[in-house]
Amino acid sequence: MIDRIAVLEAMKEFFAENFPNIPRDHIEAMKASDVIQQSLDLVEFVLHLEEKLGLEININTLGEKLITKTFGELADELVAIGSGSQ
Amino acid sequence: MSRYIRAIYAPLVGLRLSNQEMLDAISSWFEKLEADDAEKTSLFDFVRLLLIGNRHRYNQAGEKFLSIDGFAEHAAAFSRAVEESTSAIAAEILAEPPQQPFDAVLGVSSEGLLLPGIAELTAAKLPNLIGQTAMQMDLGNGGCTASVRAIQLVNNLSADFRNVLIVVMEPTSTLLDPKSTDRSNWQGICTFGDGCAGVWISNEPGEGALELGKLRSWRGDGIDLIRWDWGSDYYRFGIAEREQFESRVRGQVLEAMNVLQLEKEPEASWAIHPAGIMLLLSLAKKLGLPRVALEPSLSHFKACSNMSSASILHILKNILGCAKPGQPIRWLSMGAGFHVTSGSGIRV
Repeated sequence: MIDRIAVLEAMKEFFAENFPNIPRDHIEAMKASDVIQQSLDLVEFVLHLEEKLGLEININTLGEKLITKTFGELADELVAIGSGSQ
Repeated sequence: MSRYIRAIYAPLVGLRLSNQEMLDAISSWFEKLEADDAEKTSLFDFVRLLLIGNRHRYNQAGEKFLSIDGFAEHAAAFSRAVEESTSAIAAEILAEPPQQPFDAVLGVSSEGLLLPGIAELTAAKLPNLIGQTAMQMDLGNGGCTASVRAIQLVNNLSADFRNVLIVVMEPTSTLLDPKSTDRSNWQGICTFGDGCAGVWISNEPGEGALELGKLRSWRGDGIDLIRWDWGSDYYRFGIAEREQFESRVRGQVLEAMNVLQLEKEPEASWAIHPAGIMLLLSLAKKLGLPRVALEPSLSHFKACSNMSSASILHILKNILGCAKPGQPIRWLSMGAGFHVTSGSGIRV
């Protein structure tokens, strides 16, 4: 079972390291595609979450949600993946 | 008996297209695509994901690559691409021709089959270097590992074959099916780029040559993972179990790395087939490679995308050009079969 807060913390940690100009207090409402605009960064983001959450994330499973959803919605998706409901 | 890669020929062929240019072309095409709006929107978001960031590819099907229609147009696109690629490789060879003629020419492609074959077409362009008695043969259906498996094959030929030329052409754009809404089809269209390359293998060393070491290949149980499907009028890209594709590929490659006993060798330069950035970064982690060691593969992927089996030769050419005498060089490729191949050599 993965905690939603832990997912958001892992995301914030990634942004602190890689996108220090992003206001981390408001990431839940931000669209992923507004922040991550390079495929290498996108993959780094997914690998960071895998490592921090101990979860295998299939980019194909998340698919276009990686660019159409907000980080808050992505956190919900990852919680669902972690609980095995996806 | 030692064998050496004496030269790699890696011309760039076709029209250079950025992700944004691809996205614009696909966006216009989607207006004509017969599908309901929700399906089109979802598919276009998927395409946007695949085309995120700065990446280019070369396209030999021309500006109207999304209008290819019917068997005849697909086959004609393949034929034109092979003509363009054999000419480009022949021109590079003639610019600095080997002193001895080739004893064999192997043509490699996974996208099409036409007669005359790639080997014969190449031979016809190099009559002074490829005699009438030289062995000329095409190898098909090797996928992204075809070029390195062809090198493995040549390395095992008898000593009678002193100079062998392998010519690889992968005009992947000729497989695109613009009428299909299948995601595998669009994943292929957005991931691949067209490419060609040649490699001269000799039993004599030369300036800047790569002495071939251990070459190995492995086939796992993912026979269905990557395949050519077929649509209304031609073959098209296909993969099994799209949802699980990536993790199954990763699993197969990691299993192969154990079987092939790939060692962490930090001083070696690595060429890794750019099947995808996720896979590249995962493999680098497993091999204990720093990010900088991935740069030749990553920069090739950004500049040319995945050229199927031509990619690894382009990356190797780049690495060889920068290598110092005595430098160990390694390569790793993976693709349909599911095959994983590894190779090693030392820059002379």
